[in-house]
Amino acid sequence: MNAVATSTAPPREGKEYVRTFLFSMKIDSPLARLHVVSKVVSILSVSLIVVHLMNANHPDPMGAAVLAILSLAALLFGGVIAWLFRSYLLVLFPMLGTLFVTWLIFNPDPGTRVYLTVPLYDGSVDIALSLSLLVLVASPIIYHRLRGTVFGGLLIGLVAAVLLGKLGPNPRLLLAEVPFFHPLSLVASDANLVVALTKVLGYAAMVFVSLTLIMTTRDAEVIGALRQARVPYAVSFFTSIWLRSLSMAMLDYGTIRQAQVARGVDLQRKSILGKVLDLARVSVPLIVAMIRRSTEVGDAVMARGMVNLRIQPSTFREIRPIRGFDIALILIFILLGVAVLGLRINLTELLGLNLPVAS
Amino acid sequence: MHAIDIRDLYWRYPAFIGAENPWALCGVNIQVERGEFLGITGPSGAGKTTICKAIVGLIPHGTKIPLRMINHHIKGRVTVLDHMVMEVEVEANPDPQGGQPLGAIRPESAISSQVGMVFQDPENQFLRMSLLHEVSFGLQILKLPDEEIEARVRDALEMVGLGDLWSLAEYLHPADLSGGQKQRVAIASFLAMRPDILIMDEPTSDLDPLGKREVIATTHKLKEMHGLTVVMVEQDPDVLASFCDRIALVDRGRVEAILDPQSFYTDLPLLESRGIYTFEVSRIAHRARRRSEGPIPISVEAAVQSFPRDVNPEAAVDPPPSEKEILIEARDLWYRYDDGTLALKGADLTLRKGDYMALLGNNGSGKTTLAKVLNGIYRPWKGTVRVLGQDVTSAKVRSQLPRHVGYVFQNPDHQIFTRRVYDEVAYGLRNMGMPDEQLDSAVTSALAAVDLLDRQEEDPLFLGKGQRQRLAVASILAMRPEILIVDEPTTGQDFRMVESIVKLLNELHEQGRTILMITHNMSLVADHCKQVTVILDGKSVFVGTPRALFSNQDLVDATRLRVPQAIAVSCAIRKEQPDFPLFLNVDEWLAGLGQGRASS
Repeated sequence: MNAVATSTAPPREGKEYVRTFLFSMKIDSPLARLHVVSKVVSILSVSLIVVHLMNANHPDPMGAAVLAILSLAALLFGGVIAWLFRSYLLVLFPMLGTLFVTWLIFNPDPGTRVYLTVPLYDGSVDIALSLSLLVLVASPIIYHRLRGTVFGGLLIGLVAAVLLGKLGPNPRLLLAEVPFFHPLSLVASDANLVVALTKVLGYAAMVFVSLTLIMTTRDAEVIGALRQARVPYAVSFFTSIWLRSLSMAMLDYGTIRQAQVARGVDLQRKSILGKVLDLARVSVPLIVAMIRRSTEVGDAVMARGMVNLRIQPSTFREIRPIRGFDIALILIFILLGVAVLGLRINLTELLGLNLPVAS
Repeated sequence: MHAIDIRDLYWRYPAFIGAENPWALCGVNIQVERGEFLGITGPSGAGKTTICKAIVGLIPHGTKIPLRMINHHIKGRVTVLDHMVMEVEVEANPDPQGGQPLGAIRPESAISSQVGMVFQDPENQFLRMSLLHEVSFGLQILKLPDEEIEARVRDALEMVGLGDLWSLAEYLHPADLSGGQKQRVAIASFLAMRPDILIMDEPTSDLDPLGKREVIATTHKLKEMHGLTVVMVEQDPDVLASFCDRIALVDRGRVEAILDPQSFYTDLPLLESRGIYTFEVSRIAHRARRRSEGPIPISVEAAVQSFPRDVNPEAAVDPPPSEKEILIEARDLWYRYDDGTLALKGADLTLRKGDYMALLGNNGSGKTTLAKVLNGIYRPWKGTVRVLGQDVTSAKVRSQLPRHVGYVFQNPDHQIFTRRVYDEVAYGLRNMGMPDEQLDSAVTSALAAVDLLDRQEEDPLFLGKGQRQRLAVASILAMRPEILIVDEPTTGQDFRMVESIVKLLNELHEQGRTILMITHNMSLVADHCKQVTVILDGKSVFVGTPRALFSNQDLVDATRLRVPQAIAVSCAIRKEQPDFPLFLNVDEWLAGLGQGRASS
């Protein structure tokens, strides 16, 4: 302490990541060197192939699994921020689990062998008054009176209503019985499980590959690709300005939100309505900041010499050449698409695995 | 032949609703020679930026004027490098109905590519998504060969001290840069174009003191090498006097004087009456006229020659160190942003009850990040932080910190959430759950403290910038936090606004409030702060009094801080006369010279 520092460190030392459409990626990520066209072709090819692999009559779970693993690897090694990667996985797995169960419920294909059947809905809706319903409605109202919020009351009411319905005395007055939809059961059969698994793996592959695209693509790459595609400069310039404005609005929002926290917005627990009102209040400084900025951006555009839209600036290092690796990647995905969609190659069958046929 | 010739220019901003605006410029006459460096200074709202826009042609060509009201909004002529930027033909365009002339502007469009303009806020002039293309954009419009663009971009980044970012320039988003770096990039983007005339509208208001001088010195060097004509709006007298050939004083739309720096800054009665920053040595000499010999100095060297040596050393004494209770204690604090940037790398800070501490450091050193950790906005990554004895790594503690630590953000526009001044101050109190019967008196007393009580029914968005800044302080003040953190409260403000904010902070401190102020204004530190913590590259490198800091030249050099003139003169005299006291500010000098009392 109080010693003379020997040198002034370079600014932003420790800079490892570069801003992308969604969050950031490592500057030296291998995907940073890929052309945006090859990334888009890859994602389109994977999506088309996955749709084919998920065909209920001819599923290819092994193919879907391979694509899911490859897509996950691309995301993992694409240089995205590690904790973001983990938090997305955390959200994704429950979502895919829900998808799996939903498929089993709404597609009760018995296949050749049924392992489990759980009836869920008998095909009619009862309109009735009951003690559990009374508890469910009264609980959030009382809770709101006492604590000023609803969520806790809703949770208590829900638990109490379920317990009453299953275990306790639950006097009930049936008013009407209305037939609606058809009975639903959770059916776990050999055919059903295979299709559900293929769907889950396929959707996982699509999500991973989409995340890889938006987490490893910079806005500047898109603008460069637009210029490379000879889209009129006015279009790419204003797309660029629009993207810049979005980024500025996001930064402004972050600062304004912090200023709101400094003004005690989180000091007390608030109802959902209170939180919505707080969020709406952000619009006052946000709109003011954007209006002030727009005037100054207009002046800056003109001061830099962009006085009319007929100007065609040179393409200094904006256009990234499509390199050999990009072409190889595009060809691989096109060939894969042809093999799966055109030649109907099924990896599961190629491996000699016999799947139960859907009935 | 003049590089810039403005003749009898009048301009009124169009008002599309409500009452008509007053004239922003009233008969401005300025002639700038080729290769001249002209400074423009004046209070906020004087018309300085408007003059700059008129030179570039943004006024009138980038502004919508009602077609039939030319004479009502603009008069005069602007010529740049022998090209007519704008001339109003007053007798042209007769009204088809009444016959009276409505006026016409010639030519219809004339924004010259030979003139570059760097605006006040760099964030708003970034048009591209990488540092490389931001600087190269103007060159791409000029369709220069790629090799030349690359060389010029590289040179321009070197000139503004960002040469080390070259390897990342293609990947760095302008928004990822710190405030000072953004300013330098904005300047580099015009320097790369090597225009004949460069207009700079307070381009360095966000930079740290040495960064500011480096940028201006670079511009000056460019002017010398390429014969560039520079017009620069600036408040800092040191920058203006060091680099400008002449300085214009603009007030209420009029050019009141255009003089060489020596004549300009020695006319203290005129400058003080207009609320213009003046030199500390000039103020000392002016007020101690009986004891200072020769003409009023504006430089440290001249002051060292003329100031007497027989002074009262008791005027330069620090108060004893505070032994009061510790309110904030940060030890080995680290913070890492989501993008991997390490903003704090072992910062330490101790703040005691009743302290008035300055948190200093160059741009990007981690001052604001540290303040946001202390306010509970950010969670520390490593290290310990205790605020009022509580560990802020706990989310529960952090959520309650705004009750105890008030944080006034740099930009008042980011912290106005309602459309009525009264409601704005009440907003934080309502968030705290203050009962209505107590709320009114808390709001009223906070508004009274910042002298805005008579504005309580107005829309905060229509207040002046200084008033909005004071409203932001009032909004936090009303929450009655034990500690007040103010982040660069004087950046971009004119002398009168700074005086008003400083007066408010001093009053709050005298009432017992503990204040932590982030600032680049070293005179403010020397005049008012009792303690200083200096951060360099995310790590605390000094804790002590301003006197101890400024007497350590090696430390001052390493931390890129600029020594205020009053101290620099003392230091220079101490080299010849080691027992000469280190006077921190004008008041101490005057007390030492027997002309006044040192501030306590």
